[in-house]
Amino acid sequence: MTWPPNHAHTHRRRLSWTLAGLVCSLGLPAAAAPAHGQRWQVDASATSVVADTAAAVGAASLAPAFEWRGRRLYGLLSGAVTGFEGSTWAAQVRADGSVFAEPFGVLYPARVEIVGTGQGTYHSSAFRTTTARGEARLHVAGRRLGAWVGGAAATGWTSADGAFVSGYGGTAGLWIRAGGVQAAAVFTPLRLEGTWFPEASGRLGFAAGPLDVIGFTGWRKGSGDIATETWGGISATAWLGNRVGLVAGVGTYPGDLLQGLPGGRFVSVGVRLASRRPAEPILEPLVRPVYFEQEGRPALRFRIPNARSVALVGEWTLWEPIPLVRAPGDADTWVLFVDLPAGVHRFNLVVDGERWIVPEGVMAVADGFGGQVGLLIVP
Amino acid sequence: MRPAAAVLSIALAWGALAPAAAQLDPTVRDALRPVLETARRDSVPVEVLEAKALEGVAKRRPTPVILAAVQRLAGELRDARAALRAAAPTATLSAGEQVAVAEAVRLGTTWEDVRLLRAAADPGTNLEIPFAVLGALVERGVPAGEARAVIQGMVKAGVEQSRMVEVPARIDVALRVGAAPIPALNSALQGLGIPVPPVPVVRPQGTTERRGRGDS
Repeated sequence: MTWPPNHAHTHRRRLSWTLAGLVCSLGLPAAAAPAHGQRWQVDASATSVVADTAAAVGAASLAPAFEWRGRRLYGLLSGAVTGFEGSTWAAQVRADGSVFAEPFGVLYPARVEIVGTGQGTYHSSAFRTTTARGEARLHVAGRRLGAWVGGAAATGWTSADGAFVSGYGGTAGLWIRAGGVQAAAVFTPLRLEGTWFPEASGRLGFAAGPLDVIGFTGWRKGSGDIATETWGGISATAWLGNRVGLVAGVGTYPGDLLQGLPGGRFVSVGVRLASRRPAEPILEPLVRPVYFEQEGRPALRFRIPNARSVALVGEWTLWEPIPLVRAPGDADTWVLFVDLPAGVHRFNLVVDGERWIVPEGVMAVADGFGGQVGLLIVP
Repeated sequence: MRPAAAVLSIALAWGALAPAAAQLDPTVRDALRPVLETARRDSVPVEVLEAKALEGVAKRRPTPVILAAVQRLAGELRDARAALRAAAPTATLSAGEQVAVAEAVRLGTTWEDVRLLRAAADPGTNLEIPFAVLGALVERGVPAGEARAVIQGMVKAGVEQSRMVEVPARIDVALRVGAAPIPALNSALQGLGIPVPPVPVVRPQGTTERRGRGDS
């Protein structure tokens, strides 16, 4: 690849990246997602993009995404097919995966993560790009605050000149959760072809009633022919129910150094269909605790009369409380959507923040601490 | 996904999993270290002991109590491992199976019944759930020998575990209307249509009679 990158590449190629990135960043506010399980969504969007090197262009896109979470594995597969004004189109696919390890044991609040990302884009003009990025991170985290440091390596290729550009760098970040607000700050300096490009970005997300709102901002220092860039924007999803939302976003985005694509501005509106909203209302009540599937959604339901709050703590949460929600129409039934693997799982319920119980109908054994722990048998 | 989004997503996902460890008192860690090292040397599943320590932290128990609970569990797992290994030297021992055995014994199952059940099953069969159900039957008053015979019959007959785990709840229904444990067990098996060998019934005066399912 010619270096520095040629920002005269068509803005339409850039648009497919923008749309897929927008879809992913809007759609998966992780804090509300269960520790284990999977979810999917499909966005149909209309977008107008003004790239730094070209005039405005309109486009329509269809962008599916599938996310899977396990205790030590995380995966996200996403993509977008976009049709542009002028009967051209582009397709993109992206895969993100992480493996977590506990080299010091789970008793220590530290984890090592190996994360990889692969991405490919194809435009109807036969222009193609491919990028790959890998990182190794050491996380130290508590309940509401965490940080990480690590190293990264990345490479990119485009069919424009058939050459690769590669680099390495670092990664460091800090995140916080407080009062329903999630925020993260990330510093990712990258050295490409002998030049350092320090980059800092921030992100803030919260839910308010039917709205999920995410704001983002960033800065990257330029060098030589590549200008210093700043960007930012806001996106919101208004949920019409548990599976359908209206999505809108506006903002600016930076150029892509690895793919040699320019930055720009965008305005986007669309409709999202999803397996569920992250913070979900609950469906039918059930009076006895069982493990079952309803519309493909495994759930635990417990009847706890006169409770103000109920949380579940168990082996699979590493004994961190996860709040249950009331079933609609039945104030005494509490529900948690969770996808547990086959086996025997130990847990307790914490009622009103202070009373630890094994719910009625669940087998209990002595917990070794003078109390009891429930056994949930999942065939 | 933009880098910040990806990082936030993963960091928060992990953050949801780890906080109890962040609350662990360093003195507890120090006290546990030799216990865990010994367990590791003995091939006892260390992650189970770590989870027990986190449970103690979550339940706000003092360090000596947590340490005692972990040591006790380590001993139980060591015994479970020995019993399973003696019964089936070539079987693969899962952590879940060892824990299920320890809990079944805590509920009243005998080590002899553990060995008999393990020896009777195919070495490649994971008996975590059968042992858990065995413990549930014993907890409900079914004598350990009879409970083991029933579980053994279900394993041999290839009864699906999804049906096996329904047995305790069915027994509860029968117990609530006044049935004795073994008739309640028979009723549960009949209701689920599980083909098992006749279950011995112990009469109050101590004599034993063989009864087929459905005779409850």
